[in-house]
Amino acid sequence: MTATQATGNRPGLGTPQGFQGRLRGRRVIGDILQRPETTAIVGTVVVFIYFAIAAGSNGFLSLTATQNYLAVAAELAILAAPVSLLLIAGEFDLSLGAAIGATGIATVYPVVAFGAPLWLGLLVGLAIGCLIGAFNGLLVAFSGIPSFLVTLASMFMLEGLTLVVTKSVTGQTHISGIAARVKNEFTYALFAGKPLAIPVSVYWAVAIVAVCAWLLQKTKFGNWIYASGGNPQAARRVGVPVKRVKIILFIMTSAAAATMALLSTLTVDQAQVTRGTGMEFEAAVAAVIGGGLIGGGFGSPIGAGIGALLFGLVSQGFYFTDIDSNWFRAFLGAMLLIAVAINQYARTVSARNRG
Amino acid sequence: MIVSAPLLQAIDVRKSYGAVVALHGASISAEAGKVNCLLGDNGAGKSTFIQILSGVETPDSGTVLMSGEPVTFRNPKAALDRGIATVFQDLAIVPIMPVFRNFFLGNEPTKGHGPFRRFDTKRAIEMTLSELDNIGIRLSNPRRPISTLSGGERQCVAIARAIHFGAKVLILDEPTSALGVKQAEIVLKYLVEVCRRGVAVILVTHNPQHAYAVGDSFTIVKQGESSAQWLKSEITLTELVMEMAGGADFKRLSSFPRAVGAPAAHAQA
Repeated sequence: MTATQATGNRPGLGTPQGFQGRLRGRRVIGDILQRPETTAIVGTVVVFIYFAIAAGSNGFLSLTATQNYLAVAAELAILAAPVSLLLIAGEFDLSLGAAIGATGIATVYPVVAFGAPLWLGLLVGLAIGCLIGAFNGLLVAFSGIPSFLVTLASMFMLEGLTLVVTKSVTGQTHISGIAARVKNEFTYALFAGKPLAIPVSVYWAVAIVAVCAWLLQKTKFGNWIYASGGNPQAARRVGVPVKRVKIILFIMTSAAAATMALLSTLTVDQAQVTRGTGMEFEAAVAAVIGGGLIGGGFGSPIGAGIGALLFGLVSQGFYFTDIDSNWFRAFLGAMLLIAVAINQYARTVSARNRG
Repeated sequence: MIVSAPLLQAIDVRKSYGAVVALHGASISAEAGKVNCLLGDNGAGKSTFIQILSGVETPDSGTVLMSGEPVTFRNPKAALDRGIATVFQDLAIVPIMPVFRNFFLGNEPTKGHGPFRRFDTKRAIEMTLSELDNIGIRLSNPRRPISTLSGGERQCVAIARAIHFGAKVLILDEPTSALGVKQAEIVLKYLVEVCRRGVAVILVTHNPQHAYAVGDSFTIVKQGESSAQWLKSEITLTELVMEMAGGADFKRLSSFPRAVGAPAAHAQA
């Protein structure tokens, strides 16, 4: 009797007018600002329009230029999407760049040295990538050492190891001549060339960004990613396996590094130990411009993908203008700062406790 | 009138951490449909007591009974499975996450199969909206972070979540201590409402006013020991405050000389 009595009646608790009484227009703008991707989209459009006007006549709008910046953006987006998930879960991977070098060499060495098929090389590269990710993830999850330090250490270890091993085995710091051996393989077609005049890496980037976005928004695991970064204690209390979530994300990130390493290797037909140097920061920049909060709990793989596109536009666009292309890095740093400031402001304003 | 065993009962529970005795003899019984208040100062042993009731800690000795049947909880999950839900002060919510994601965190409804199994966000949003509507919180956008709700509302969401997932015994750890008068009122009103549905509420608080406003019975924990459990008809608010403040000690304190020059009243033990 008590139960039925209760369901029918609605006690006038709360302060409904507190929610309804706000100005509708301000709320709509607030909700748009609240989207993590907004800053990256606006920035990309502005930068594109700028280069189209300033360098359109110099070939910025040509097919080749478009292919160029799309290829740069795509390789970065493949990394930035899983990095944004990792960031949302509250962790950071500095060893990503070193993992690109290591997995790139690991992928092509069996092909060049033993004549292995490319798919086998790719499996080796992916396996090495997963091992690196598992190492980082397990150490972060069970030691309690901040991921910044764990992955900084693994970055140095991995860089050194890759260099020593590669030099001792091949006598050089790079391996070339891959394409000639695997040109007719199906796997090669999946990772090289420009189907429909679009670099193959763009297809990979779109697919990986889409999978990451789907994971985050539409799955249980995605809810756990948000919670693992937003409030790990609370997440643990309601039964979210926070450690497992983080380990999986570290593995995903390193596996993405292996994928990107192969694409990049086949583009220039050479695997280099130092290929990924600095890319851990570029991926983080894209993820943060794309709405990711360094503290975790918020971000977007789609935003990270758009952030990568912005990076590609800026890095290639200056070549078509009279401006010294070295301005690129300074410009990028400023962009990062602006994006962070806007995102921070949007978070504090629209997430403010209105009680 | 049918006399049945209380939903949750703890008898003479003891717990020490090394040489530190946190609880030496605490008892409480929580009846269905009643607000059972557990009062006490900071450090009196309240926290240890509710951690035992919610399965976070195991007692050194003493018994915990559910409907008269002895139980032991290995972990909070085990207590939760038996229908004992505890809302701790941090509410176990993720401030930056949308309300509906918080509501179903760890209990996400899914649809689809195999690798395409996914979080049924549509259903989660619908259920969240209707659950919150029931308690008078109307959300314009369930995707807004939960931090945009007021403190009282957040507390209510945490309680509604526990009830939604089948809590029969609800332990609330200081639900009003961080709230203003008005926000506290929202929470206390909802608490009474929850009780009317047949849930046994254990309200842990150091605020006798809040406890007396909604409570049906009162237990005070002092230096690791619990008092008798008074019914509301057996004790007045003033007496409750006196008991909490230290009973005899408090009387002695108030008989101290007030005016300069008055004859010194020696404290008698």
